[in-house]
Amino acid sequence: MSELILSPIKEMEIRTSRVFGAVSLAQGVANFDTPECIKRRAIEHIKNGDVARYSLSPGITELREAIEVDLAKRGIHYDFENEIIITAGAIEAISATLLTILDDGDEVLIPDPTYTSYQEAVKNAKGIPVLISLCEEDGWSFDEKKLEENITKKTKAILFCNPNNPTGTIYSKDQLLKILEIAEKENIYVLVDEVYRDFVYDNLDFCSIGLFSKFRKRIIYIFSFSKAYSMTGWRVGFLAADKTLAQKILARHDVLVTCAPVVSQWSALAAIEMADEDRQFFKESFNERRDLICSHLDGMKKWFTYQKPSSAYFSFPKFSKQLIKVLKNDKGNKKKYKLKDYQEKSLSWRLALELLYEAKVAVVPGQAFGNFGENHIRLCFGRSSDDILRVMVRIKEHLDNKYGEKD
Amino acid sequence: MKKIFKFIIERYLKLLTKIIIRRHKPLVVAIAGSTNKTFIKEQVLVELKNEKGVRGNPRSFNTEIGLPLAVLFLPSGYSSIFKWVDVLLAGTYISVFQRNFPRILVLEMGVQRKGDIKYLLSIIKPSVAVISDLSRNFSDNENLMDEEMACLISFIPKTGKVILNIDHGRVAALEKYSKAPIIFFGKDKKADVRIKNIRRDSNGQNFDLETGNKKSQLKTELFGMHNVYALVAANVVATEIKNCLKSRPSIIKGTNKNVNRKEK
Repeated sequence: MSELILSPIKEMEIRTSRVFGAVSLAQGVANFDTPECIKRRAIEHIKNGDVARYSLSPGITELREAIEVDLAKRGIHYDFENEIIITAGAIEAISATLLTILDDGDEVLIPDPTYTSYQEAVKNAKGIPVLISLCEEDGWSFDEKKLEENITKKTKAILFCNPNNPTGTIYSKDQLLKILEIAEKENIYVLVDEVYRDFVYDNLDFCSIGLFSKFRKRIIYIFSFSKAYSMTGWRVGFLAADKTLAQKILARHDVLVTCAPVVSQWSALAAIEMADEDRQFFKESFNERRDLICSHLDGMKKWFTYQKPSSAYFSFPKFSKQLIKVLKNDKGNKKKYKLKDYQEKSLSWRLALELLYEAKVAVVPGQAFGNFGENHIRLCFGRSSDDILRVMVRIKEHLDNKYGEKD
Repeated sequence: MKKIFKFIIERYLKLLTKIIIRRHKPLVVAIAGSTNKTFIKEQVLVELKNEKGVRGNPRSFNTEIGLPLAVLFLPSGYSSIFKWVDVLLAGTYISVFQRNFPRILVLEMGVQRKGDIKYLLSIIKPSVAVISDLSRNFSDNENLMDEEMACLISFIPKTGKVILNIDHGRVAALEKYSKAPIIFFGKDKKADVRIKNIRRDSNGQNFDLETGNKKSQLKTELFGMHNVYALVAANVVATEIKNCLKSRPSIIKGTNKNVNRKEK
């Protein structure tokens, strides 16, 4: 039996729930409630008796049709009848796809650092995740040479999110094209999770993988309503893929969940039809909070360096040499904090747990996102400005008080 | 309180819409069915972009409140009382005083529950109806859409036109409810407007269209058979409307010879 480990993000949240007075910037969840127009429509459908039965396995037709229209406005074309499947969030779309395309021992290339659950999703499908380091000095970009070097006969797919979590960076059109050309040459699939596509700042151009219709047989486009419409608890998203593959994935999806929660499907339809302004408001709020968190990081240059995120709602500051030095010199608190061996060896885990138990703030250790995420922490600025303020003040005070004098 | 407020808005919008329809007497094209309404409407508007006096629903406003808003060309007030007051005041002005109004309205008609079509037909009087698809959302039997669509088709006058997808069994079965001439479109040999030789690649779809002796080629960058149907249905509607704009009464009197039709 292959062993999966609980996502480190979830582990941090569980640990945080047991710490009195702790404030969390760990999990990637915004502090906003689902927009009123969506909740109102959900209640109407519940009252009308529209939600008690299964929908057809690919999802309610109105929602799939609305998704096709919405994608078409973005220049992305899929047939809602055969190529769009409503899923229980993005992770179900990824899992159903991997279960469809992988045989035992097949390899999936994953950028490092990236979202923690991808590796476990690959293992869940009896695959082997192969991590490819991103180039931090070049804005966490893809190095296509590394990509090609890691392709073997067993490589079946590449899986990544764009914009990237935790780095908050986006892949350029050129990079995406190169990835697709390599995928075409090597006959591998390209799974792209665009859950943060609506939160791109500074008027930067975001290039969706779906725009490359020439490669549509290779592409599995994945999106979730969780972040864009503050609907993380509703568990609804979708995937779009060329007809032949989509029909195979549909069979897996049927086995996994039969259909996505019907009340959530109606709510997702309401989101597309009515919640544009709310989504825009979220984006503007996150943009302001990004400035807030960056201004606090500017005041901690002694401890962190960082790249200003251009998208999503995460900052991924890197430990300064000084911080690495003092952390290495500090004896671990293995027993006190119930650290596992791999956590004890990781400075980012040690700092994250130290901050949780001593400063009462929850962050995600960078090592959780891959080895190249080590010596970083992830801070979510989707949370309220008050929470961001409290966390950043506590981190600074903790580091200054504990390590400032030793420096 | 909310229900009362909604009822007042609904009834007042209905009154305003009936007034403006009575004043201007536009030709109304109703696009209905479970899906494909928006695609067809958008495609009709694309095909008629050079014609003046043609308007469709903004977004997909197609319900008891949405449809009147579409006719009056007003935004929704959503959950704000103040916005609704503005909407109703603007609607009153448009309905009673506005002189310019489209000659052709291309409107989606939505169905959520039994009786919706009957209610919408008490507001607008379509002369042309288009139905491309009737799919079920749920895995058990439901005849709601069948009954509602039969209600719409039987409403279209003898002088109007009904445009149906012959490839879709449930849609084609609506034929028996129509007293208006029917134009069937689809791949079936019996179709008046026939789709042939569909070719698909990564850039979209190409296909041939046969209308009597007339042959043409159409292409779309969109995928899926429903988009082919939408394009063809829109093509049929647009042809009818263009003829109508040239000679206003033709479509109403059913004298247009541009496409084959079955007289009922």
